[in-house]
This record gives sequence, structure tokens and C-alpha cells, in this order.
Amino acid sequence: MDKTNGCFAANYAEARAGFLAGAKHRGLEVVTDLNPLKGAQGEGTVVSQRTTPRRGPGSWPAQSTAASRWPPT
Amino acid sequence: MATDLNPLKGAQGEELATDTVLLGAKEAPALLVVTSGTHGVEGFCGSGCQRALLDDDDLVKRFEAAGVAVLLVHAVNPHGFSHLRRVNEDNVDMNRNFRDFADSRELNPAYAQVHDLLLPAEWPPTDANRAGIFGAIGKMGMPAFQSAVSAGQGSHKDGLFYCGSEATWSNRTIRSLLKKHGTGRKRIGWIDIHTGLGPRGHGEKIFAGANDAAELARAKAFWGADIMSYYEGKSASAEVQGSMVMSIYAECPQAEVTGMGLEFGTVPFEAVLGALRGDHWLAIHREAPPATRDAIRRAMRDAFYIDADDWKGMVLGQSRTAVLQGVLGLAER
Repeated sequence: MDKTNGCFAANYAEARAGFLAGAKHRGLEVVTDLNPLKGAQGEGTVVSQRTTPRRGPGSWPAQSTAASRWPPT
Repeated sequence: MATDLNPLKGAQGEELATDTVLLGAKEAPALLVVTSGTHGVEGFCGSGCQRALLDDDDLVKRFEAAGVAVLLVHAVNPHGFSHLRRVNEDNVDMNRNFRDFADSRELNPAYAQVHDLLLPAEWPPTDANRAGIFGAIGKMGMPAFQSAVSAGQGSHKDGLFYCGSEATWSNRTIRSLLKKHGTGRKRIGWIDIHTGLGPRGHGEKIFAGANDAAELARAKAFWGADIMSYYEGKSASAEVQGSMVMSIYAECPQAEVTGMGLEFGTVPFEAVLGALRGDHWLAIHREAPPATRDAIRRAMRDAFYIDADDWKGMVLGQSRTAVLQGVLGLAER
């Protein structure tokens, strides 16, 4: 894969992993803040902790011509 | 690096987070903020720009030489990015959500005239619906139609360009990041990377900030005479209410602000609008068959990200130039 294409990802998880890898390459510390969780009534709570982000599996299939076939508006 | 985790999970079950990196002269009086994924699925582009920047030793050295700090904020709206939506988990458009919710005046009442046309009962739209859309455009004129659709609205929670009813998780996260990194800075620049408007591969520079002549002049001095301002009716974008960049004035009132949205064109407006309509239709019609769901999701990604070498090359070249121009503009004069 060439350098230009290597900057772009097939999905969010891959994009995030790439960004984290770039940061790690520059020796930057990773800090994770857990932000508001929704309660049973939708109310917010706040939890903070340090953690190491992980990468999720899977990727969206390669771009197809589906868009051109998709009914136009 | 700092990471803000969204409590929800992504399309693949992965964590959803807003990650930040501070580069360059970290304690400098000047800061350039570069944000991606404000509109979820548009993050494919902005994330690629940020990744390229992290790998660019020459550019990072120039940040330090210029005496400017650079804050990369990756995936402002990670839920939309992961689920291939422009809006967040609550159907809120992040660039309409930074508004004063105490203001009870109705926002964009013209949206009510087009809502039912935009989100018909059937998908794909019928010929009658298409005729209705064309009729509305003919009656209102394209600029007024575009404004009615996209200026932002608070009346239809399931509609397009919904502003929400309160500050979202992403809104609070951005404000917190601005306070943390922007407090005490004398000058703050902001490049918010978007896609979906304008000619394919062209990065339209849309002025982002208050309707202030000095601020606009400074943005033109940074980024060139081709900065477009919707205050002057020159931008591909309609004037919007509640854009994210406006939060800088509240969170960093001491700073001289210079901002722009860098909007990369993808496919024609009609195709972008069609993809957005389909996405919102799907959010209402969760019973849609898998083939319809996949087609809508794919259309969303293809409307906001072009998986082609020439487009990516144009994006990376223009974003690198814009970041360098922003840094040099912010450097001590």
C-alpha cells in the first residue's frame, strides 16, 4: 500500500487505530477519559479512568459502484 | 494524547472515542486546532489528513520552528463515523448543536415546509416525491431550498440537520478540550475538516467564526483570497446556526480567533442530499430489508468519502498547505 492510501482507513476502528499508531510513533502518552454515561432515564453520569484504547474488528467492504445505481433524488 | 470515550459502541462493537494529540511548541501563546469527524462519516477524510500530518516529520518540525502548538482532535463525533452517519447517536448535527438552547425563537421555520418531502413513507422515493422535491426547488429557488434543508432546525427530532435540545456529549467534550488547551493562549486558529460540498477534490475554505470583518480579513491573510464567507453569500454552504467553532468565544474569550472549515467536494449536491435523506429514512424505518440498509449505508460513505487515489492526493496536498498556512499565520509577528 502506498503512503497516500495508507493514511486513509476503511472504517472508524481502523482510522482510530491508525491515529493512535501515529501518536505512538511520536512517543505521545495515551490517556482515556470515560465521558457521560446515559442512565435509565437518559440522565448523564461522569466516570473517568485511564485505559489503553483498543481496536475493533472488521471493516466495510471495498467501495463499489452501488452509489451510482442508488436511486437519485 | 488524551482520549474521550463515548459510552456507546461502534458498528463493529468497538470503543467510540475522541482522541487528541498536542504537537509542536506545546506551551506557545498560539494554538492551531485541527478537527475531524465533526460530521461522523466525513471523518474518513479528516482522519486521513491528521494521520498524514502525524507522519510528516518536516511539517512537525515547522510547527516547532514557528513556535505554535497544534492540537489534533480525531473523531469529534465517533458514533456517526463508525455507523456511517453524519449525525450523532441522537440524530443531532454537531455543527448545529453549539447554540443557545435558552433562546426559544423557532430556528429555521422553513424546514417544516420540506420535511415530509425529504423523508417520504417509501424508499426509494416515488416519482411523485421526486416531482415534489423539484417543485419545491422551483418554487423556493435553490438557495432558499438549500437553506431550508440545511440551515439547522429544532422542530423535527427525526429530521435532517436537527440541532438537538441540549449540548451533546461531543459538544461538552470539545468545550472541555478547548478549555484545557486554549486557556491562556493569545491566538487560536481552527481548521475543521469536512466533506460533501463543492467540486470533487476541491477544498473550499469556508470562513468559520463571528460575523466580524477583522476576523474575516485575518482568515484571508492566513489562507488566501479564496476564503468564502456565508455571511457574504459566497460559500457553497448555507448560513448555519450553532456551528462548533462558535464555542471558542465562550471557552477561550481571551484569544484572538481565526477559523475556517475546509470542505472537500465529493459528489454532486443531489447525490449528497439523496444519501442524507436515505440515512434519515433508515433511522426511522429500522425494519428495512438488509439490501436496502446496505445500499443506504454504502451511499452515505460514498457521498462523503471518495476512495480514489486522485481525490486522496488532492485532499492531503490541500490540507497540508492549509495547516502550514495556519501555523505561519499564527506565529509571533
